Parts: sequence; structure tokens; C-alpha cells
Amino acid sequence: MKIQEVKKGGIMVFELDGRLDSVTSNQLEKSLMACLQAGEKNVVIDFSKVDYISSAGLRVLLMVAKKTKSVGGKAVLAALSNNVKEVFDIAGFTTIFSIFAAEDEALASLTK
Amino acid sequence: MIWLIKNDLAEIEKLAEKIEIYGESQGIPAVIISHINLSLDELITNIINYGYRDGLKHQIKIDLQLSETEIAVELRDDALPFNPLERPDPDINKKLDDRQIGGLGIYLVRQLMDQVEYRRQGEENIMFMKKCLRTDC
Repeated sequence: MKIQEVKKGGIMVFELDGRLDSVTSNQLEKSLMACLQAGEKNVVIDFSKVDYISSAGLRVLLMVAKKTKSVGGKAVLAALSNNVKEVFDIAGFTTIFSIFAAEDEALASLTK
Repeated sequence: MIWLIKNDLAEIEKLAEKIEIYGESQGIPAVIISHINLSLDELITNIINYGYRDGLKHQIKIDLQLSETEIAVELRDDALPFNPLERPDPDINKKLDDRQIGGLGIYLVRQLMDQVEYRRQGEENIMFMKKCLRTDC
């Protein structure tokens, strides 16, 4: 999985490209945790190039949601593919995350 | 169709690609193949991460049988005895603060498949799963 970290309008955006599974989720966990440890409170995760997520990926997202919330921030998700959305629905993640159709909308929700 | 893989997490993506190609060749809807692949990923990941203590190479067997009404999937491994179905389902209606990290994998399998059974036979764990191709299967 390719992970691109870009700061946009003061907010860290993680643009993911590839499968989010038991092989790649550690990589995402490390990147996100390093970012939070560096003091970021809010993150946007862009899923537009992710067509596959397993529970290993869900686990990392849940962890990040809890961590950001504990420091008064938020993890916001953008551009879920149909496959990813379906897994989110089954796992009940659609109700615990703020999910936007596109990255710029996700960013806007944090800068209001 | 039978596939044999090693106990290495990198094998799961390769297996998924092969099953996709096979599914396409048999005219199985892509959404059904993706449900089977995610279920296999969850189960095989558990087997590889927690099932072996000897540090040796092991083989995992995936057997996919197609009929007009359903796809039967059998997964066999020689890992330590483990019945993933004994694990209670996570409560997916809880709020973020109360949601537990973990337990979602097996839950996904249960939701994605129409039937899931476990048995231990000799030195093998056997997971049997069924996915309906029609509403009357």
C-alpha cells in the first residue's frame, strides 16, 4: 500500500492507495500513530484508491478514532468505494465515523 | 477447484487474485467473489497469526465447489485446534468509546456467508462455508 501524507490547510491528509489488509495495516497504523504523536489532533483519510479493507484495517481505524477523540480531535474519512462502504456498514462503522464523499468536503468539515 | 497456500500472510492476496480469475471464468458475480475472498482473508489471517507455534512451514488448503445454486468453500489447516465461531459477536451498535478493538473479522465472515461451520477432524481444523447464488439455495 502506498500512503501519501500531505498537509492541507493545516490538516494532515492520508491518501491511501492499495489494499488495507493484515499485511498493510501495520504500515498505516505506524504512519497515523507517528502523526498523532507529533501533536496532530485531526486527520483526514482518503480512501478513493482503496478497494479492499479487512478487519485488520478496521482495527487501525477504530484505534485512530479513539486516539483522536481522546485529544479532542477527529478522524474523518473520505471517498469510500462501494466495497469498503459495504464492510463499514456491516461492521457498524458508518455510524461511528464522519464520512464524506470527497476529500475537500472532509477537510471543510474540520476547518469550520 | 483446489488451491494450496503456505502459512504466509502475503499468500492471501495472491489467492484472492486466483479466486477472482476463477470466479470470472465461471461467471460468478464479482460481489460474491469479493465476499468469499474477504471471508477467506479473515480466517486465514487468524490461522497464520495465531495457529502455529513451531515456526515451521505449513500448508493451508482451500477447496471451492460450485453448483448451480451455491458455492461451497472448505478451508483446511493443521494449526492448533481453534473454533473461531465460539467467539461472541462484537456489539456493533455501541458508541465509539465503548467499541472494542478486535473480534470484527469473524463477525464479517458470519455476515458475508450464508452458512459457516467448524469441525476438528484428526489433526485438522475444517471451516465449511456456503454462499448462495440464488435466493432459493
